[in-house]
Amino acid sequence: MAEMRESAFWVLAALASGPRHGYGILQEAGAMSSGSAVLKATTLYAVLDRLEQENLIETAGEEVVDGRNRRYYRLTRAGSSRLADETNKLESRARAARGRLTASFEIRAGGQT
Amino acid sequence: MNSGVERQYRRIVRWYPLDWRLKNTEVMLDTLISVSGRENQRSLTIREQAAIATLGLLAHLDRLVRPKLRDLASTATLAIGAGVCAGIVLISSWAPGGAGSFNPDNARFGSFYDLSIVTALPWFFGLLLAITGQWRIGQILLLISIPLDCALPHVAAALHPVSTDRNTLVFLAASAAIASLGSPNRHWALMPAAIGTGMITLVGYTVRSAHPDFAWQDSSALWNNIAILWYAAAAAVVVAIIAATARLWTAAAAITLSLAPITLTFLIGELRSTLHQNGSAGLIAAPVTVGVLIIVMASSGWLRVLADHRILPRAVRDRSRVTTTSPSESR
Repeated sequence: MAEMRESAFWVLAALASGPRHGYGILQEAGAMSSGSAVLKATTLYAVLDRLEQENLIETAGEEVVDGRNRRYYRLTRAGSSRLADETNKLESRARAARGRLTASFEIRAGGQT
Repeated sequence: MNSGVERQYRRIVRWYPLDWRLKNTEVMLDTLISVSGRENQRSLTIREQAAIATLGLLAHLDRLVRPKLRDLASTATLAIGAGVCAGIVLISSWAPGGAGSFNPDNARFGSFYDLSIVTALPWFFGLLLAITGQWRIGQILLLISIPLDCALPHVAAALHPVSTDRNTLVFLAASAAIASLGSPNRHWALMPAAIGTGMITLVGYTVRSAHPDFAWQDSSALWNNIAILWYAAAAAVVVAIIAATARLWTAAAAITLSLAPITLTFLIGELRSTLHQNGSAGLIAAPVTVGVLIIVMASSGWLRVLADHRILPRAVRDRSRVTTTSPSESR
């Protein structure tokens, strides 16, 4: 399975709690990542296009707000599963790194005493 | 409504394909205006305009070749290009590494016989950057290498009476184009794949060095006489046909696309030979090669996909899937 890009990860994560429109996805991704997610309005639709082609997300409907079209997206079953896989992978990496760091701190602390 | 942003956006969005515009123009405008409203932005920055235009061009490319396929072909051509470059530099160009007798008079560029190292460096860096996740820089390097490959024979001729093999340059330029149009999979196997191709190249030179007249082999040795690369390409065509037969369409089409540089090199080489009136029977094989490629493409369903795009625009199909229910309940 190809590695998931960070932008795709944040889009899927933003949609995990329910359907959102483009601006809603940007806001949610920004909030979840404390502003560190690099998602731009200009590139968002390229990411959405790709995820839609891979059947990871789908259109959930459209509405007109203030005279402008607004489209909502939601995760597909495959999208949820892919997000879960990616999250597990990241968690296991973080756990492994944290374990090594803890051990390293303990060794250093032991050496200093 | 932010009319400045809207006016700029509507002008730049023309870079996108028509079906994309029909489907996405208004919803993307909604998002852009929402963001610009939040940030009190009155116009799009140059960077944003460039991003929209670039993504528009890429959307055209997506209609021609699917992104997944481009990524696979990019992975394969990156490994092949870097491997071939490694083989050429080690055996043909780097004087101490040559299998033949070293004549210092022939080494015109430091310890190198020719300028192969100049064409090889973007590939070596490109491979490393792809593996380390900096593909954007690698992509730019490979794109720069395309005009460099085209100009090198003329530059080299002006500097020194050194022959730079045009077949190799055509091959590398075509490979760079295909590699840079996708994103290679970041996988450790990229490096062994490049080493494998490099070894095939080395075998090509080693086989040729058994020739009694061998003195110094320039990179053209790759394509002459016992050309192991042709055999490798033929084997890849067989694999593509088997994959197509097994209905592994993406694999078959990706292999076919990865072979495009070598096919192009073959065709241009033969065409040039014919123009210089010393063409070989290989030219007869050219249409056969193209025919095999078309068969593979047809078997893979790739041709049908292209035909579908003409007959039925994607926007029409996508629109038929879009539901009309408002999700306001959930948001």
